[in-house]
Amino acid sequence: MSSKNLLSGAILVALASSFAADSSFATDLATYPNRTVTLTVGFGPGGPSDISARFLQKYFAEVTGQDLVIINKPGGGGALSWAEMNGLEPDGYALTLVSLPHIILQPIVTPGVGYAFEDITSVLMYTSVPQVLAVPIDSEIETLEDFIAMAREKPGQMTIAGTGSGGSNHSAHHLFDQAAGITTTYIPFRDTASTVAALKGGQTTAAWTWTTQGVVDGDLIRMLGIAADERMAVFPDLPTIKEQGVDMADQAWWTIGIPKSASEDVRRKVAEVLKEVMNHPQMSEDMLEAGYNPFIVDYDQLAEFKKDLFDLYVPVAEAIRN
Amino acid sequence: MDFFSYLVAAIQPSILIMMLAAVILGVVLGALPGLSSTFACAVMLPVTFTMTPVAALLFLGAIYMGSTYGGAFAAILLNTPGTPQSIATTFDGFPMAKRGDGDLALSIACLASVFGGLLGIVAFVALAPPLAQLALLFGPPEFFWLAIFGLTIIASLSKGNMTKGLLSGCIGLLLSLVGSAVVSGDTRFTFGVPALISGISIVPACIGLLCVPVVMDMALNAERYLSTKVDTGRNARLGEAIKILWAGKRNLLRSSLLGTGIGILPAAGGAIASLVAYSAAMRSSKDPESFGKGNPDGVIASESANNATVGSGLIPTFVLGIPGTPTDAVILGAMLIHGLQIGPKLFTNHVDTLMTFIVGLTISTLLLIPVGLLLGRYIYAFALNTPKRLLAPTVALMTIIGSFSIYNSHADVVVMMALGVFAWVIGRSGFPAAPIVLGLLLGPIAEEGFSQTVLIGGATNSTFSMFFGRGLSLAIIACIIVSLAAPTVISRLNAKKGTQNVVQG
Amino acid sequence: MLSKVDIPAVFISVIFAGIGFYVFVSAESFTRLGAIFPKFVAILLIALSLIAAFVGITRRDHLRPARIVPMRPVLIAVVMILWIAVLPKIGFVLSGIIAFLAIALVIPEATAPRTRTFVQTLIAAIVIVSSFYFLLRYGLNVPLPRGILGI
Repeated sequence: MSSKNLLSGAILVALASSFAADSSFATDLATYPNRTVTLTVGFGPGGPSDISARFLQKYFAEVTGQDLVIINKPGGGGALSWAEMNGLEPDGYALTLVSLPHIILQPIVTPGVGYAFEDITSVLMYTSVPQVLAVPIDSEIETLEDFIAMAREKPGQMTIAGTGSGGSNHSAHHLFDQAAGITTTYIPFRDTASTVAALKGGQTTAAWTWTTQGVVDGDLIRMLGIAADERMAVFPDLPTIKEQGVDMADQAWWTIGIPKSASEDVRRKVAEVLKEVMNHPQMSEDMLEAGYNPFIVDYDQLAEFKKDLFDLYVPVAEAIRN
Repeated sequence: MDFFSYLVAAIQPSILIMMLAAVILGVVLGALPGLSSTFACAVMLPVTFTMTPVAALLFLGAIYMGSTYGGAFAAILLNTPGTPQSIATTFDGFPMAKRGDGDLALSIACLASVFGGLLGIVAFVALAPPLAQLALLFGPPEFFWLAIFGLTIIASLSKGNMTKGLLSGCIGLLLSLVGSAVVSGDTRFTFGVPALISGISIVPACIGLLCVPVVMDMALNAERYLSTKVDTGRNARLGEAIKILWAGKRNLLRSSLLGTGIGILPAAGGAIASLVAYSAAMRSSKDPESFGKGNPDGVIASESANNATVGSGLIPTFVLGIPGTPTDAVILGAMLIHGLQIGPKLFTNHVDTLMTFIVGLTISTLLLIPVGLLLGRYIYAFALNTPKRLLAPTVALMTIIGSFSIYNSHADVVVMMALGVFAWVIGRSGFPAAPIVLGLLLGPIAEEGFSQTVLIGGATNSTFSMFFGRGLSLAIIACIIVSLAAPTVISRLNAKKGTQNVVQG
Repeated sequence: MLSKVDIPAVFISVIFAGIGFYVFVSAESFTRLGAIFPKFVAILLIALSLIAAFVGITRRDHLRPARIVPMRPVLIAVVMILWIAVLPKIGFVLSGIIAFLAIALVIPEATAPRTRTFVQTLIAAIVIVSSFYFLLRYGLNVPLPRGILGI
């Protein structure tokens, strides 16, 4: 009996001390990061935003010596992770992936989404991905011109797949139709995989998707135009939609966010470290090849950048809200 | 390069040991309720960063195959699918365990998983391109009808208690409505709680609906949790399992084929495959009444189908660049990060990697035999011999861990418990919990398919022909009709035969 | 013991029917497309509930269990609910050990409890809860809730 007591006592002491070593202390900025950093991604594993975060994960350990752990929290097209963001520890070790223009569109299109644009704080923008308008490879539509011509012939009859309702693809659809003066019908799908599957199977006439998808599917889909201001190196022959006469551009931008209550010092430190990771020589190459656009907007310029985007997208949100 | 060079490349000792470790890890992770294959692969992804691309693929593939089988452990012993792919294994696996045949069920599940897994891989190697094209034919109407077909299983499962079973199914459908709707964009039934925007996740729901009542009922009496019929001695009733598998070989083959077929559909995973195979097995059985009460054929059907999706899910993933199952999305991501070109280029530029991967996956599947049987025996002994006093809290702990870990969400734990108490209460009144799971799982697929078809049909003025005019849809509708009408027809035929026999003496 | 009316089933059916009505009415405020499914399910629910209630009242061959509400399973649920409530505040390990012991206490035993079994349970609680903690935190990188004591 007493030996059992001793045994339990010993176990308790051993465990207690190992737990004590575990507790968190206040952020020591000079040595940040000195333990594992978690990054919450509000989308499912394997999706475009998740993969962009995993590129970060890959080189984070090399650059900082600590692990970046990704926690997937899909829900509401990212809304869940952004609603919970400000409840996390503001010590710089609990980061959240924040997508634009999602955080602009969602609070307007979906009331009750649980957060407001002003409450979301980002420290660094690290990548952008332009959207593309694509058709199946065996479609009779060969160019953007053909697409617009067909849309004019049969208003509302062309179906365009996209991911989610009130998300990026939806806004691209709206902006394009508006700029080209046509009417097509938007068909929302659950996630990028389903959207692309529908496209390839010819279930819809066309689809709005991302350049990253274009990298994967090169031979099975035909991209008609890229919704960016400039062509991408990975697709030198793909003209922009602007080049082809329709004045619109629509991308997704991904930033790393931190709880609102994090101090200025913490924010800058995190931004600094992440920038270092992004500057890893291999990083740009990897991301470009995969169809991403490593695109850095530093902490100081970020607030204004977001404000400009906000002004741009509010009317879009109000238009697609039904 | 021919087959044997790939074999040699894959059988180096270091690779074999790595795969063995990964299979064991996969089985263990899959056995823990709540940790799905997708989660296991996503969590292990960073471990692969230091490996070569081929090794990374072999590692993840082994975890995938292992965890798909591992889900059967919890399904059989705790009525909780360890991974969503094992939902249908609970229907007959748990009753088998309760009546003392748990070790038999585990052995059957192991062998069936291996067979199904191998068949899925064979399908990939032999028929990837044509099957991929077939997958693309599935559009919104087909997914809608497929979901309806899955939902008819509710009717079949509720043989004794049709109204209550259907009611449970409706509750499941209602639960699936919570959250933001994909197609229409409405936010429904969230009651202002942000955590509900993503709806009710299937994993915490399964754990709550199926496992919590089991834990609560452990407190009903002082009897042992599981009894054993036969003193198993050393061999976990392997001989008996082999005999049963041989007797059920048609079921085994059919279920593996069904699993293979459903695995190629983008985003349709092992859960749907196991449900459809289970339903088909019940239809074709001479004794459909015994399904849901511990018929080994149910376990064979579910486990062979879900492991078949591992191999066949790779078809759309590698041929079309579209993930065949949620776990395939993680594998695709891993390939991207490791710099492997995916999509059609994979077959031209990276054939070597691909073939080594296939051989490795085959080896992992075969490794399931020793790993599964050994682990099964130990876990079964554990479940058998641990007093309920220690077993109940441990399982309760696992329910909380399982529902928390997948999305790092306390809210999910709350949902798990709420649904658990709910299921226990209505369960005491004869309302079964399994149909709730089915409604929750298939509801969104049905609604999305329906809404998308309405939108597309509306735009092109072809709504009716979209629902009822497409070849594939009609085939599925035919299956639905057969599935619903078959029991009545069969019993009428049997009655006729019975009278004939009587007449003939 | 045969009984006349399957009261619990009827009660539950009525509640389900009520839920059905609530869902149907709520669906009025959804978009046209988004209201189709809820309304359909609501109607189905109401219809089935009425049938079930009818059957429950008219078919008089129900067996009543010896006790309508068995105490101990409810106690287990209560312990788990409390556990989940305090989890974020006290942390995983501490709340886990306490809950482990509490649940073990509720499980009925054939033999009378002895101090030895209590100690055995305590050790099991500590070992099992900590093992899961370490497995998840360090093996799988899943941060579990930490409370005031940091664990």
